Amino acid sequence: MPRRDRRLTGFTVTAASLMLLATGCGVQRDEAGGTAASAAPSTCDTKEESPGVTESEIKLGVTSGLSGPSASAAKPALDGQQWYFDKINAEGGIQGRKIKLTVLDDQYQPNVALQNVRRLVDQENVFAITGGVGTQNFVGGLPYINQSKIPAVAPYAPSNQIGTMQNPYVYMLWTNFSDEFEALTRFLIEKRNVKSFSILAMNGDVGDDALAGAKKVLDAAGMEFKTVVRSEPNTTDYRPIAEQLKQAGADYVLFLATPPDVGNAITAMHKIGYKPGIGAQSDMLDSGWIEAFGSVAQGLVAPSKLANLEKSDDPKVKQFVADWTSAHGGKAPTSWNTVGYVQALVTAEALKQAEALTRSCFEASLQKMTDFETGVIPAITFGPQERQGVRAAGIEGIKDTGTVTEQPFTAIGN
Amino acid sequence: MPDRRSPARRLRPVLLLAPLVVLPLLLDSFSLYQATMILIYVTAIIGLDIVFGRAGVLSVAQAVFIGIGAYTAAWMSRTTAVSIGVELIVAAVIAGLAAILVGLPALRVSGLRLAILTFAFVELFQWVVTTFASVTGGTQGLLVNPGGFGTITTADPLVGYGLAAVIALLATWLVIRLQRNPIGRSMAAVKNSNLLAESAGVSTVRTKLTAFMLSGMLGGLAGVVLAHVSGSVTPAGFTVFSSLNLLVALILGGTGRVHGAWLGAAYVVLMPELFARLGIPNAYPIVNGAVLMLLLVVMPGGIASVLDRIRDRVRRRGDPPSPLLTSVPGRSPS
Amino acid sequence: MSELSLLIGGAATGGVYALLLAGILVIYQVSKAVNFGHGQFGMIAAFFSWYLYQQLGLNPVVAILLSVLTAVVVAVLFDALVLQRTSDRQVGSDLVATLGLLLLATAIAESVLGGRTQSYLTLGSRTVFDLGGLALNLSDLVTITVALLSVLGLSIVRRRTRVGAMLNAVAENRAVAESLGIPSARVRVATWALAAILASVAGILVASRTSVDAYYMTPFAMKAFIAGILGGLNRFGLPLAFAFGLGIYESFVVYLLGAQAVTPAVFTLIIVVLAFAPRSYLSEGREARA
Repeated sequence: MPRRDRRLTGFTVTAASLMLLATGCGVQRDEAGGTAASAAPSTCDTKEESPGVTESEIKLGVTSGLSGPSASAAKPALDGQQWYFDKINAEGGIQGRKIKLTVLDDQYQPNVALQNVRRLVDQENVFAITGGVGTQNFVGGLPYINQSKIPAVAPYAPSNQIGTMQNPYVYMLWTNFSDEFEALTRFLIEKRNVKSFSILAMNGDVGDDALAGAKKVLDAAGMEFKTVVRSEPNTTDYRPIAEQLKQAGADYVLFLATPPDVGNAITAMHKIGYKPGIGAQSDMLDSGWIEAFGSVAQGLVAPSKLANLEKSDDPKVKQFVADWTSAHGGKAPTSWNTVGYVQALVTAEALKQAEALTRSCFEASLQKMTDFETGVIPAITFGPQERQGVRAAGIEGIKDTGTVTEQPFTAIGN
Repeated sequence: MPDRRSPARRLRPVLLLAPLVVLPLLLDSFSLYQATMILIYVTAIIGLDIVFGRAGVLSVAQAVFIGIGAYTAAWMSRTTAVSIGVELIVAAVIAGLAAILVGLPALRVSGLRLAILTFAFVELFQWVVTTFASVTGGTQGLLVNPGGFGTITTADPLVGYGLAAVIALLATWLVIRLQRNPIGRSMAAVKNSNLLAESAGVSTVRTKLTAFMLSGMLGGLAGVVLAHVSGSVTPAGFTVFSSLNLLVALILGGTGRVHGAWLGAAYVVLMPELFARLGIPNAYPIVNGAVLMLLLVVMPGGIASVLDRIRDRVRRRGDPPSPLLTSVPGRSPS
Repeated sequence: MSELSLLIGGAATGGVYALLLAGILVIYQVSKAVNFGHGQFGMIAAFFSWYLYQQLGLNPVVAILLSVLTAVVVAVLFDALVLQRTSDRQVGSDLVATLGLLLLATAIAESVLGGRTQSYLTLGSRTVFDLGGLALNLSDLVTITVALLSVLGLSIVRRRTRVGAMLNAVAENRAVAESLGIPSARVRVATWALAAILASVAGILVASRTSVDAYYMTPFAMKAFIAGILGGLNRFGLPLAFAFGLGIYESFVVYLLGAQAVTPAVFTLIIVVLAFAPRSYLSEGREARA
């Protein structure tokens, strides 16, 4: 080695040996954060000191993808939450206190969401986190939610990790993709008598989830997929995917992919003259998607997390739609407005029922929630060991520029 | 930098280090977290500066190396009980090797194609992470266990801060050494002109690969600390846009200058904070692109160059200013 | 039959790559800069025309003309106000400036659309002819034709016309060209305008085949760059042929091996070309910076 390199080498060697010295001992962890955080307390401690509650207000925090790719969902959902909390405040608040929302935008970015959760916990000292939209961002904030043991209620973050005791401080309302596809496939087999399926699932864990949910039902019925096609984001040409599906020639094709990918793939199938029945995840029921792709997606069926707001006879739904419409100058609530409304509704209900305004009592109150009816989503039940409040879905079909209910809320699984 | 060392000059490192030691004692836990993030970015940006600012190869793959470090740490923290020192070494080695791989096309193509290829490597990384979900956790990523030595772990935010600070200082020291080292001088030569460097007996390929390796190793180290401080890793943290963000920081701070990376790191952490405080967080990405273009026109040397100019003006000693590493003679017509 | 259908679909996608790449190449050869933000010129054209006809109710033809004009203005202004003022000062600053363009255009579109995807004028993309089992799509034929005509037209202009000669002269050596009285500044404006028009055509074609959002052109631009690396940025015909070829290659990879195989397959292609092509093929002909 030439002399000139010696200094740098010396540095590297010194640094490396310093590290090696320090590596002699392993690390001892008091908790295995990756596998399971310690279970949340279910016993209500009325004397506990909890941040964010004063004589006159309860501070709640929101982190949501208000800008960036999730903005078109997150903004109206936030409006829904804000509207309901305003309504409650106008009616006198909860336990004599007004709700104060601190809202932070995480741009759908996991690292920003983490920063936001830290800010909400450490700087804003909020009592709990309510709502929010976006899975990848929410997952970014999860480690600090677990570490600081702050309850998070009803984030719209469909995932197989959330709603389990793996993340015991998160109280989940929204069904994950595995459950959605189980419900969808069962409906198609039992009610539509569909004999053959193909599936297009996004490459990666989310696609795997959907695949597993659908496969469970097919296995039980002794059926197999005609073909399983995986898609990638950033696809520039949907033709080969469409050709693969056409070759398999199933009566129904199930889709789990980003909404634009689903729309583009269906368009590509139509272009080559293949027009099977279509099932997809609930995202396709969004009015924005129907507006963009409705012309190729007539008859598409999808599991639904929400009741059909226009056509439902449920008095609670009618009441919500009427209240919202009169408060918004005749504009009916969108599905995302409704998501936000339910998020706020469940948080508020748990606060109302809490024996005292401490975090442990708030969690105990959530865990006692049994068959809580909101009308707009299936009945909600949490428990000491149950973090997935809803395991039911309806089925909606796209018709013209809206949707029609094909099947009311039905329990999923056993 | 002149070699004459006045007592004041010798004191300077101490003066600069003091705030780093005192700071964590004064900050609340959120600000401490942000200070830690700045230090992590310093390491990552210095890495980028070695390859872009010093060797003159534009790379948008820096996020990949951070990602490799972060995923290595996540995986080791979940499956082993080794100390964070082992994680750092393993991550530096893997990220360094990956960086050499990214730089390998330098054997056959010139800088421009190399730059475009670094883009493609980010795509490849994203593909690997989402495809091999059983190891990487897919798009949802992995939770990371605290790391540390014995019972001292990053579960204590001060440990994370200390770790980030030590690594940022080591990186800074490395890059200062590099400036005075033949390897650093080869990089400067390669940056100015491949042909001239070759004719002066400098191997452009070896120099570029060395630059890539060092940048990858620093990225990997930054990634390990990042994973432990944030507690989770997801592929969304290591995209082309994450790399671009680092590039904005570097150029804004000032390429080829030691304090450039520090200023740039402070910018990328504190600027979103400022917009959040003003209540317009979504203005940040827009401002970022505009600032990048504006800076290139108005302040091509970054904040550091402006500070240098002010300092030189204040001093007015008469000795000629040291030639800036970043400035190159005008492009010769080909 | 499906092979032929794949070939046509792949060629149409490759045609879009070629339209983008043609602009990237003329910009590179005259302005000596790789424009990372190139795909976003197409996004601007498609997005702005969508906004004009959908939100403001303008006639679609007028909307498209106006929005292409906008893309041209953005391109020319970007070159004049940003790129020309940076390129000589710092190594790689030209690339970085175009990255700034990419960030800015994406962020603005994202803040207007809120990440939402919008459907665009179909422009024949839903018109299907059935030729004995082979479904032919009007938009595919239009895309392939437009791309081929543009590429051929461009090469004729370059080889046979005075404008082309001026373009080549400036690309070869700006100082000498200027001393011969060629208005290099105007040539430069013309290339940026031309590149923006080609990108707009690509952007609008893609939008009509799929949909519009803030990011939809980025994967197309990425592939155009890869074709550029494979064929050489200092050439013209070969990289454009690679662009068409890449579209077809991807199409068959997806069909035979699945979509998850595309990224590694494209990488393999790059590695094979870089490893086995002769050095003279890979040299840029001039010392490139960055």
